Amino acid sequence: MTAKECPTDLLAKDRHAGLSPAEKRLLEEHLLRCKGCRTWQKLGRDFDIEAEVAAGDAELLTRISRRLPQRAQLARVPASASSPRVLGASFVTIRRTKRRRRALYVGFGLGLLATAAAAAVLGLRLKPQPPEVDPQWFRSAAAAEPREATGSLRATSPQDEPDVNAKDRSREEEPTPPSGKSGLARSASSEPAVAHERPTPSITPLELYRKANLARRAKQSGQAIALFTELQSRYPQSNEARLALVPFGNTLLEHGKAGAALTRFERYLRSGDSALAAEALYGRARALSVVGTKGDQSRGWQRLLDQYPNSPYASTAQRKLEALR
Amino acid sequence: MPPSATGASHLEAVASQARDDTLLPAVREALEGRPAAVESLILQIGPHLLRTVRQVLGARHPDVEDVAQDSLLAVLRSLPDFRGESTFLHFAHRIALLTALAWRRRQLTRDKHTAPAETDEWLDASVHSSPHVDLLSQLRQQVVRSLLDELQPGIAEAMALHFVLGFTVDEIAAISSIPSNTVWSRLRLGKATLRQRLRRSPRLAELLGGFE
Repeated sequence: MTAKECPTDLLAKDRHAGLSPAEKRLLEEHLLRCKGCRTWQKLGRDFDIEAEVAAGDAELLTRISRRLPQRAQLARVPASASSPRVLGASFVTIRRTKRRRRALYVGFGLGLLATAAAAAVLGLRLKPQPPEVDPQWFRSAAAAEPREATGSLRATSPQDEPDVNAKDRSREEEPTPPSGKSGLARSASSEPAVAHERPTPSITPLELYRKANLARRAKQSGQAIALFTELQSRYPQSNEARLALVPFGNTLLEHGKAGAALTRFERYLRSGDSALAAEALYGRARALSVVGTKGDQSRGWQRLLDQYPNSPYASTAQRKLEALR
Repeated sequence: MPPSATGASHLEAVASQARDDTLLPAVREALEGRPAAVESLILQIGPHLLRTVRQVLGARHPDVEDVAQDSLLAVLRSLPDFRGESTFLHFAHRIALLTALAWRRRQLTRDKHTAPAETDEWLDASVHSSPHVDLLSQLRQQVVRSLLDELQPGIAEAMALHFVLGFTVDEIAAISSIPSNTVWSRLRLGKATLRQRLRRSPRLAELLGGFE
């Protein structure tokens, strides 16, 4: 049997529910006698399952789309550009501009380090008897660290995850960390094994967010939970803490703590932020599938479908609702 | 199914889809350099590109995010080359597919010169009803993906568009700007290569249930 004789085109159309009743009958009859096409059909289903929406998709796409417009802005595409090549050329410009910026950041960072080192040496000479350092003061000073220092560090480490909220960072800093025990210490009861991995006092919300996500991706959910908890308790008002509620919920859900996950998703939804609302509703519905009644589950999926009918989660919500019926 | 059976009506349907493309206004505005249009395009095609990348690399592959970003960037850079012969979404799918296939080939070359590839940990998580079904599914996918790495680029592209992404032959012809008969030939060659590979490994062929 040749490729042309097998109705592989019908198999392709079947994957997108595009078959007429006659075509469907034709395909079914062919499948009964063609082992090869049955395997191709299974394979098509395998690949469709691979492509299914996963937890964290909205977050992932938000991350990617936040990075791309920044590049577009760097290119300064003129609104009146008439040449169709302008946009393509702009991305070449972007890469060059980015390289220059990176070099500038590195230079600036090195300068800053040299200044800090000189200041430290001078400070030591002026004060041979160093006063006792108040840990509280140290934390405050570290949190109020100049923004450029973070920028220079980022620029020198190409392996870093790209910036999540670069434009918002200037207003996200928490100059005074909460007093008393650190958030990690407070969360130690739930995750004692990771309590020793306390982040350094100078860690910024962005760094905490990034570390937590890296731990989550590395499937170190215990460490990710501890870092997310730290972020929530040290910088409760930061954008990162708010955005982290969703990946935090997902991590808890994957860790089998559906109730705690549900709380995080609902807190995010109450925050009024809409950037990850679809993702939060998706996580909420999944958490309800574990801890909720059948009615709760239906309402959870229905809410997602009502509020985001065109989101990548809509098809999953539809399927779940049908299954619940 | 032979092209004569599908007839000209399918080709006309593909052309009609391209004319009614809802993304065209955003594409035109993006070409005029409007950042809002670029953003809107990103939001609309992003989930689709992610699907394509996942299908080519595997859903849990650690580089999905990077390749999806590269694909999105490649689509934006290729906007001026879009001629409207297919829908913009089809065009974007093809770019994402080519980006992901190129990434796989680069990775293979790298692995040859460095340490051998790690075991596919990201394939571990079960998505099927039983471990056995899951294993067979993973095997089938691995066989096809490694075949795509070895085939000539044109054949690999046609095979991936048809069997991995599920596009019809006429859609592939429109997306790749080649005649339908060429697509059929490429699919035939791709399937023949797959059969040859399975003949070399009867056990695998038996496990998979045969590819015709």
